[in-house]
Amino acid sequence: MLCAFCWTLIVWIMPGCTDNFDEYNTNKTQLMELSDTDLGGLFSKSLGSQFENINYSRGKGTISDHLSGYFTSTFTIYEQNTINTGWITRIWATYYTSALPALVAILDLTKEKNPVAYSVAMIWKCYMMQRVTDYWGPVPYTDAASGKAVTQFESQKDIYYNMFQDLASAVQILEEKLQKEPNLNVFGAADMMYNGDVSKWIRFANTLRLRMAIRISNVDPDKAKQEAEAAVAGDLIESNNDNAMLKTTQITSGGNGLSNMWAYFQNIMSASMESLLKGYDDPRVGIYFNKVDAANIAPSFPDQVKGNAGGYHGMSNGFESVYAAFLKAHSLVGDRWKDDNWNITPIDYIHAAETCFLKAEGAWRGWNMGGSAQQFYEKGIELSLKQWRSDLSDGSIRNYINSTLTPVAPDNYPYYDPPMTDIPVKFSGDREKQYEQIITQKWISIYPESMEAWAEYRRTRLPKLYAKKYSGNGNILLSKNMIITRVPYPDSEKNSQPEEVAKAVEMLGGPDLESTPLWWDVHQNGN
Amino acid sequence: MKLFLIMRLSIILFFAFVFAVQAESFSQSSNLKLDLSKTRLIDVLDEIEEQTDYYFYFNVNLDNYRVDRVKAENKDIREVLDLMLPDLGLDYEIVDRYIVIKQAGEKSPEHSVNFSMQQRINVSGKVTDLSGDPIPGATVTIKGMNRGTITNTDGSYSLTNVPGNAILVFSFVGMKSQEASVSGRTALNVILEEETIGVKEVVVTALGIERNKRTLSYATQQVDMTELTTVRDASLGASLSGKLAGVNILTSSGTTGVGGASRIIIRGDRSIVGNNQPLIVVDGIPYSNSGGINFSRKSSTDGFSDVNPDDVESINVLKGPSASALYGSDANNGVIIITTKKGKSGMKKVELNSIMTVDDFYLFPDFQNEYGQGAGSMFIPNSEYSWGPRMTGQKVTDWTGKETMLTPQPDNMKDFFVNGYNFTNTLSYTMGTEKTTTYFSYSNTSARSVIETDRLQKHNFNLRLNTELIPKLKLDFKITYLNHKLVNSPERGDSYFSTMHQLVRMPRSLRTEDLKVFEYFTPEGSRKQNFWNLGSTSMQNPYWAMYRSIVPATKNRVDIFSTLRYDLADWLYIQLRGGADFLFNDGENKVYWDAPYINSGYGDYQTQFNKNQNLNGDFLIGINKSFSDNLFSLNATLGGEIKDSKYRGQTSTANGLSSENKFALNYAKTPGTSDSESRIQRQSLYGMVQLGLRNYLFIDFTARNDWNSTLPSPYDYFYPSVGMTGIISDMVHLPELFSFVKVRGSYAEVGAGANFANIFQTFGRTVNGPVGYVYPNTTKMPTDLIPERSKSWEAGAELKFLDDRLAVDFTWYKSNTFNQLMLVGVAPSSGYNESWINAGNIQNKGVEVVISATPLKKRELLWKTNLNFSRNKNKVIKLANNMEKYQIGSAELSIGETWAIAGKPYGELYTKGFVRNEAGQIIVDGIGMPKIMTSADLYLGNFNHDWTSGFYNSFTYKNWELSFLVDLNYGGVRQSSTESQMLFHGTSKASLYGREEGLIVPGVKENGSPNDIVVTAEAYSQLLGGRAGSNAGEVFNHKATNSRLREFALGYVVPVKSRLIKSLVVSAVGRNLFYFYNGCGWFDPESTYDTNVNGQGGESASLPGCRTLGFNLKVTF
Repeated sequence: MLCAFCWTLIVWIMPGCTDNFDEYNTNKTQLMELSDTDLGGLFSKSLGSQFENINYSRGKGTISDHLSGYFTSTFTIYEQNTINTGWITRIWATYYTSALPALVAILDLTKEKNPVAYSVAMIWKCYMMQRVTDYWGPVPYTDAASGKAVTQFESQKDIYYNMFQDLASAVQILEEKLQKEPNLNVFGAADMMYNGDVSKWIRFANTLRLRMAIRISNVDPDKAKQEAEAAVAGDLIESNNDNAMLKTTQITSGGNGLSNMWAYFQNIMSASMESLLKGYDDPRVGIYFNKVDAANIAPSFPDQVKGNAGGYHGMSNGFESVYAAFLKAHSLVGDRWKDDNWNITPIDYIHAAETCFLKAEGAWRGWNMGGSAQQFYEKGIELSLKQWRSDLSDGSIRNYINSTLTPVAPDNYPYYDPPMTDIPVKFSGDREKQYEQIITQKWISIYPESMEAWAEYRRTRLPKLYAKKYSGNGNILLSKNMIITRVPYPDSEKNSQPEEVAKAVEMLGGPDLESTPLWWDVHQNGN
Repeated sequence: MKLFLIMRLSIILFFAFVFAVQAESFSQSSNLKLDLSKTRLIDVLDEIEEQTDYYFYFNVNLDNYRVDRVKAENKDIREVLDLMLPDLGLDYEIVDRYIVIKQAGEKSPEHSVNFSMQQRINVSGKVTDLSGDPIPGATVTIKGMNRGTITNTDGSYSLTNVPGNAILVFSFVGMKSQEASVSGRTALNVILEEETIGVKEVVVTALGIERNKRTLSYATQQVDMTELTTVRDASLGASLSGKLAGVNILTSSGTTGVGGASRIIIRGDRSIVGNNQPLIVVDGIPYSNSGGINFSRKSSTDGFSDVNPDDVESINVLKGPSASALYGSDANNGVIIITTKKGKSGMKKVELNSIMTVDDFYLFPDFQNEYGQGAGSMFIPNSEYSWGPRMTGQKVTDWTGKETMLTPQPDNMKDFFVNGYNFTNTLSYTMGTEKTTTYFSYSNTSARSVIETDRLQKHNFNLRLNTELIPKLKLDFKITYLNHKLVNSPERGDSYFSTMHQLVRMPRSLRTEDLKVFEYFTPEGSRKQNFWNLGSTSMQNPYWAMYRSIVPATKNRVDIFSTLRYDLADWLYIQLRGGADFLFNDGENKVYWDAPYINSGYGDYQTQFNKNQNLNGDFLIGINKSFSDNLFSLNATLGGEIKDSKYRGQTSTANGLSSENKFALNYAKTPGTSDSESRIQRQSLYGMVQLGLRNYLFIDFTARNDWNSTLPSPYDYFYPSVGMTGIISDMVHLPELFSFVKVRGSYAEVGAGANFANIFQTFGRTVNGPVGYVYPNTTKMPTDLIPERSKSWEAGAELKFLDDRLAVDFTWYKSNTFNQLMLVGVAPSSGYNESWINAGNIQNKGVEVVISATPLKKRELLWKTNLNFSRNKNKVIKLANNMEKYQIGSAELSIGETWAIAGKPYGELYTKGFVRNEAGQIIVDGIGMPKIMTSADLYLGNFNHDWTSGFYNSFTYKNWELSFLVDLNYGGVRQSSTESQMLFHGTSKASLYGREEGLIVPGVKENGSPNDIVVTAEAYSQLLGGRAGSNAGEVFNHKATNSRLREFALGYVVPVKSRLIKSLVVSAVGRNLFYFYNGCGWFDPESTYDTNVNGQGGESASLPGCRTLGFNLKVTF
């Protein structure tokens, strides 16, 4: 009783005015404003908010992981080309309302007073935005995460041109600063990629510029050549020490999302992978995939898959639903990505091998890359083998490079396809075959970065992956050799700014469907 | 057994307590100690009452009787009275513990000379109330004679020497007086009715002010409490279903089991993103409706159900802003005012109310029992589908490795369930002297839903004290304590641990006995799930889901309030009130190892603590005065209030356990913790003035100014209301038919503040990476908020006919909410998901009709009926500039998308449908499958009913009482995700279409030619069905119209002749007995799986439909 009386009294003794209102209305668990000390935290956030960390299954697992041909997804309906519009809204938000706002906050804070942080943030923005535009096509780049009432979409060409420029100026600023201060560091430990080493960010930027140049080589060859040669004039990711790999050891939630796929048994070896890796007797197979675990094979499985135990076996992309029951009799993604390793195994963004294959393609196109296509091709293979198998002797690497083995017919019940293609590893004299070899070996070396692999597959239609066996999507007709070539716009964007999305569709040059090719993809898709 | 032990213990405790308080007075019951001089007799008698447990009654006006001196030491009461009274010409009679003071001449009826011509008889009988409780202390007088008596503790009386043709008048405070003619009878039992209908009806209005209902300018509706205490749902909200016009109640217990929350909407939805539920006020103090612990997809309870229905004296619903203007913004959606019981003076009563009900499950989705586990017509023992071969008893090797016959298992789902139950026992004690009253109650509830692990334990304690501290200064004090424990509430909707979600998809050939062995131990001692498709990320053994994902939650709640009221004059009082509401929640979420989807099979552990503290202090000055012989009257209240709400909560997550099933954060794989904190303070000044003319015309004004800490400086907003009431039947002479006619009208404006810390742009920080992650909040904060405002009009009439036998209450209302604080979705490419804006104009217009009647009123037969009807028409008049439609948040994975669209009603539902040509034919694609829209463009309907109604009847015959409630809600739609999932998995009857030979979708190809491509039932069903978002939602749409026998009770007042038991009532009760019609077939359209979202209409994994049957026992000692 006393208690309630006391309260009544206290209430009326309390200052009967509004002096404390602003204090009451202050959020104690949030920051009210940002300062320079928050730059690191913002950068970590923008690094750690990719599909590799969050939304892996939605953003990669059910899209690029199987469309790239690396994996067959055990998530049947998505493997059969279904698009989940609700998930698209989620993955769009991964970039635009999670990773990019943190990055744009850095750009806003540092534009005037910290050009080094600004430039590194800009390089990372270009990397993320390339992934975004290569999924959807025209997207907001300049206005991205700007908080403006209307966020303008830009054509993919404009985005590429803007990014070339932004990368060039960032590299220029950083090189100047680095000359004055050779050990220049930014963001320190918060930079989970390069630990703040600015020189490595320059390499990253130039490699990205080269990658972008190659991407537009079919649609805008002059600009491509110009940008590629400019990029190669600077430092690139040339050694495996420079690889762009995001450390996950201090991440407490997020981490390497591919580990979740291991846990869910969602990503298994594709038949295309089986044909290539087994055919080439590729030393990377044991890293990339697991042998089939006999414990996963139920007594009721048909004899044709029972024999898979202990070997590497892939499943055909687009398998028919009825075979979903036997997926456990196939090779799961490698132990490097097993579930416990989500905060151990780093996330792969760019490997040095890719730089070589990009240069090889440039040289093959006749651009000045500082060497021959074969030179870069073989260097690329060597770097990739050393990256994944440091135990390999130089001899066995040389044997692989000179191998004339060709892909084999996969043991893929019930389809039993022929070998995927007939090219060996050994560099061919035939120009067409050379091109196929460069792209095919690049495809193997980029693994498991399926977003890049899918983009390159759409650009080159290489490697010659097996077509999907079944499509549950009426927009993707297998009879017309159609493939999914982009991701449709999210409902969230269509609902909130329909006019801008309408303009974007116009810039896209086709309907907002998963079958419309992007600007740099010059292939007809079924029409 | 345990239950009884607790009860016994509580009784002992309770008596110990009461005796401690009362010990002194009891021990001196007849040993008076008095020393008074020159006092009024009345004061002497008061003093005697204080010292004894006797009560005085007098038919004589004692005001002018004075006593010169009375001195007594350890005297018996009779001695004192014998000494004092004869001198004054008075006499007394002791009946049990009551003492009747009378004129000396009346002492012996034998000497009376009046009525001597008539035959004299002795009359005796019993006076009870409607529920059969005896009424002690009721006066029984012989009409026309200055004679009478008082009923004793068991309600009985006896009068001697009564003229055979006399008329007896029975009366008691708060009851309607009743006359009965003796007509030569010697036994005369009388039932007194509470004075509920009638012009003197007092209702509790805003701020706890009691007002005469006849003067109110707005509609209110009271709930009959006897219904709530005999037939009851574990959720108090659910118990109100169908009883109130204009009040819609959706409950979640149909999907989340026992203790599920309710969603109560009065007169339509007003807010697009904000709260649409009413304010709950208990004894004048706002009562938090906070849901407690809220783990993802686990149901939460509601605060409303923390009130013990047995403690409730009345529930009054203020429906419109006019009624609630004095409560301010919190009451924008109406107010549910709960008044709890106080002790009654002059009586001592112990009451036991026991309810025992059992839930009998009987409604299931339609399953097919022809095709077994598998896919592509092949038997596959680890398949999660029922697309296998026709079950003909063929030999197969099943998932357990046994060779068995493939046969239908029609009951494999039903076998999972158990009967739910609810046992509630309430023991209440009330006693009081003239000046001090005490009410104490203890109640415990043990309940279980149809899922074995879903149990609830609840204990409510309540102590109320009312006393006059010094003359004219009254104290009213109450403390309640609640302990509420949910052992494990099932996960709701389409989720991994939702048992129902597992059961509806489970293959039709699985055997219950195999499923029941839901786990086994490895040789190393590790606990493993026994499941037919190891490592699945979509399904699991339903038994494992039930036993190995456990979410215990405990709530402790203490409410204290005290009111001090001082009557400065009989027309002026001042009141000071303080209330405190403390809520402590504590919950855990334990997921065992080997659920592959959860942290890679490493299980999980989460803890959540939070505390809510709501403090309320207010003062009131009240004036109630009439002038010039009731020509004018003034009723005014001035007041001020400070309301302060604090919240603090913490959630910790293990993200997997490093040691098998060690549920503590010490074993967390990667612990993560987050805090949340908020504080809101509101200060208010308000006033109400009512001017009356001749007690038949009243004009009301109210005004309130709030200062709210959530707004930018100067923090304040003001809102007024005005109302008018005219009692036509008192103004003019109306035909006999009309016994009462009243018209009323009002206009009110109500403002609202913002949410906590919603006017600043903030940045979040989480522990992650080497230095932590920092990020901007994805909700964009506006810089120029203005307070939200509702403007509402209301008009109504109350008509009573035939001596109040028929009453009609009609209300029309219209309310518009402006400047609504709306969270609008912005283009995510801007970096924000949503932004707060001031926008919108949402209108609700409607009518409510309540008809009550007493069609039959014979001596021993009483039939009372009540019909309520309401229709609300909602219209979104305007959203924001350049905004035509806005998506309202819906429950996770619901098929319908809910929209607010300018020019249309709130809550329009859209989904994906088939693509059709202009002629309405379905278009099929190149593989013969129907094309399905890429976005939700197909209109389904609205989730609100067009109109709702309830029809209540009660019949009393002698000792029997029968009552029932039927409700009928018309219109609206619901979408079933369960059916969509069942079609996908091939478990529903619908999946049988085209199973054997395939099917040709009736439609045309894109070139216009008729479709001739055969597709399999499996491919077709899997395109149409599945998870919300990827399916053809139109197939799963249902009409929400439904009518059911909501409640039924048959009671019998057992005639007991015992000194111990005063009354005994036994009832058979039932709830949701059956549907007269249900547009949704197997699931309850009034059930929801998420009460916290504004977008409703979705069904997902509903538990089997239940009917509740049971008994109620009420004993008064």
